[in-house]
Amino acid sequence: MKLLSLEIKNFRQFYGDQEAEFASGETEQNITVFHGFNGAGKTALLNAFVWCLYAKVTEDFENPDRLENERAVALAGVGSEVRVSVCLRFEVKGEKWRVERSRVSVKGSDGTITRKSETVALQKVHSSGEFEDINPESARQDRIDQILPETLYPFFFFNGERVERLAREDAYDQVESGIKTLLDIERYERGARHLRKDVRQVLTEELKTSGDVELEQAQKREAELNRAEEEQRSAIERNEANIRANNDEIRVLEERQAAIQEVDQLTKERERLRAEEKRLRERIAATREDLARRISRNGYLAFAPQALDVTEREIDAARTKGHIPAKIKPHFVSDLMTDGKCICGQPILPGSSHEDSLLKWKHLTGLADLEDQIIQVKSGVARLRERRNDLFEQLDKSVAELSGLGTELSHMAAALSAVEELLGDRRLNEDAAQLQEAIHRAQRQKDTENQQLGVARNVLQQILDGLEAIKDKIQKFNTRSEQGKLVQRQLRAVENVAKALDEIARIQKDDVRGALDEQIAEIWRDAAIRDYTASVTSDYRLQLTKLVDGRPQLVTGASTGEKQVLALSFVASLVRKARENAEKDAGLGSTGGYYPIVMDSPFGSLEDHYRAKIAHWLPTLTKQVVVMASNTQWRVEVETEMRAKIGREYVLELHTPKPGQDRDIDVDGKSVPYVRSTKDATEMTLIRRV
Amino acid sequence: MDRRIAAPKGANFDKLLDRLTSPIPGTSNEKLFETKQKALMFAAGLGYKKGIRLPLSSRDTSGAIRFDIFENAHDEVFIHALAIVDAGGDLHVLSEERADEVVTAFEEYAHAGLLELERVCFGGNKDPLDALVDLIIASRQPPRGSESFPGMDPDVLRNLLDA
Repeated sequence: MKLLSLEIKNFRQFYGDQEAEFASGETEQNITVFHGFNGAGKTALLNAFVWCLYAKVTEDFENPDRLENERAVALAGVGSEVRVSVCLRFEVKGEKWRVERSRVSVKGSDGTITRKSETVALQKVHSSGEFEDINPESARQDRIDQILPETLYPFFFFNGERVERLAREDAYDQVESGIKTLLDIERYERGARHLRKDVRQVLTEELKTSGDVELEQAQKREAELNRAEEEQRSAIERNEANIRANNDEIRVLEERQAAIQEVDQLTKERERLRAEEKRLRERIAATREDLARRISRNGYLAFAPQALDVTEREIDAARTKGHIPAKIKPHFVSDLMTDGKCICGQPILPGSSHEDSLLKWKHLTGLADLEDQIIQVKSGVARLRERRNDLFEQLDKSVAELSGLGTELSHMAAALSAVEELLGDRRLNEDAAQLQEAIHRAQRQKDTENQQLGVARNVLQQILDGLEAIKDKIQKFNTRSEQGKLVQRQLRAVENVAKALDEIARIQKDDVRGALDEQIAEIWRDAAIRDYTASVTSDYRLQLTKLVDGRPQLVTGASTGEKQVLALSFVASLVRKARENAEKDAGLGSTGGYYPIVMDSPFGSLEDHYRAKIAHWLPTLTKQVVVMASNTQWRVEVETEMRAKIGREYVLELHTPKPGQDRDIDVDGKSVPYVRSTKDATEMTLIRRV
Repeated sequence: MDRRIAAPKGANFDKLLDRLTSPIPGTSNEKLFETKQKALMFAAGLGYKKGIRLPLSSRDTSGAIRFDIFENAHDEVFIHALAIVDAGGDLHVLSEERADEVVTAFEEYAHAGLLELERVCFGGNKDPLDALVDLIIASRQPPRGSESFPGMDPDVLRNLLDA
């Protein structure tokens, strides 16, 4: 999505018709800047985008019901209409679009206004310049949502001072859905769902006309089980979501507890014990994996000794009896018999004692053919015995180690519950004790959820087993008729494709998360001052870790500024990855692609160092950056970094009735009006290109 | 010759082998067996230990494993040893003409072993890996001069019992 222009009419501070165009580009000047004094309408401008597209405003936009410009309302006569509108032009994959949202209100005698109508127009602009209306009106919002899903706008239109919420513990849903929607992974999940449900249903419908009572019953049962499966899966999802919520609650409560000075020692000890417990569990898991590997490779040898003994005994006996190594090669005897003459010249006549003797030899030399193989088996037996001994030796070691680790783990758990008990002691600290109680409650809830989850998973497995059996049964019915066979083949193909789509989605998610993780880590390494590592976890949390005694530990007290940088790194990485994906599979019907970043107060509360860093890499990651900044936010570092990349520059010129407020700002060496005192009774802002 | 070893055919065996070779739920990557080949080795050993050969009503030929995979794992000697024992010690069973006999013996022991594995690993509440460990430990021969048979060499005792 490339933003082309924005036209605003009577929207908040902006009186009358105002317009701005946006810069964009690969490496060249792709930044558009709006300079504005406090109250000049920077946040209003951001919200003009959001309102135009979704009829919504951002959380920090005050008084959201009153969009009408004060001056426009003041100048309107009683009973006449005041019109507010925002029109955004943009381009998506070479197609130009125009969306305009308008609100018409009527001015009452007491100066209040009453909303009359709100409409949205959406038009595709053809290369000839002709407009094609998207109709009916009810379809327009859906279409906009297809172009830029509403769930995604917080990643592209945001207030820089509040962006850190993306780095909050409870933002993972948003982060995950951002990753999935933006990078278009959902289409695979959607595809698999569609195949499994709708396509399957259509195909099986065709078979229902067979008239076979038993078959119909089976199909009915299959449908029931399918429904049950779906229900069970949503129950599992709910359980999992609740567990995540419990975890978040516990984490937040513990963070609060950790901030209480009096129990500082205890909370630290709790962290230490937890880390230790985790380490123990990891060691147990590793030891068990190792043990399983050994059993996998050599476990069968535990049962082998008798077979090995017998084999060896037989081979030794063959040796003792002189069957191996062979004194005469078998083909030598065969040749003699074919020739009918012994090497001593004696003729070998059929039925003679000479022939009889040679035949006995021939049987004995039968093993000679197998000599090499027998020797190999013999030496193999010795090697298998060694492997068997090794198995038992390692098994003893692992079992002993596991038992030791188990004991350590139970000590650790006892120590941990002792610490938790102390934390819950009201005599030490009332607040901490209350928090501990809440933690216990959340823990208990989590335990219940976990139990339910276990049960639900079992039930699901039973349903799946039942489904498999019934599908087998139906298949048997179906293979009786030609039509049935065909549908059966189609059903199998459908299932195979659905499975492939599942796999693609899984791989993509992993791939995307890995790529984002790397990118965020890289930006963070460059930008951050503190020695933390930034990452995206497998469950889509943005997190900072630090090394404590050589082991990574979660940073819990990161500053707002650090969280902002982390969140910005994430947004920027996401935008870049979407762009890379679009370049890779252009034409696949993907909604992924180019996205602008529109930021209000981008560097508000950040230190100079971070301001410079973000200003440096932001325009390199996306093709279009729009920033609304006050002079203090813009000064020195940001300007130095961004100046060369500015393609369009505007000042939001604030007109105020208060006298003596005239101010100018310096924009690229030119002095430009910033605030003007006027004789008008109301404030207003003009967008002026520099 | 393209010699292959197959598991018994059927959805339940597919599922069992799948379960035996997939990570155990709730663990990061704990698999009972790394591959189907290894699961079959263990199953055949177990079947042999129990002394049961179960004929296969149908072989899963599409999923059959090439013999060289067993060779690369250096496990083929046990397959041959099983065949020799089953042929009453006749080493001729190693000849090319009798290859089918070798494969069949192994497959039938594995068949019996798979059913036993299913029971042991997934039939109770016991942790499947612990169950395998117990099976292995139980089959360990008492070392020479073990105190469980004071004054008697267990090998001698076993020979007496075998005879």
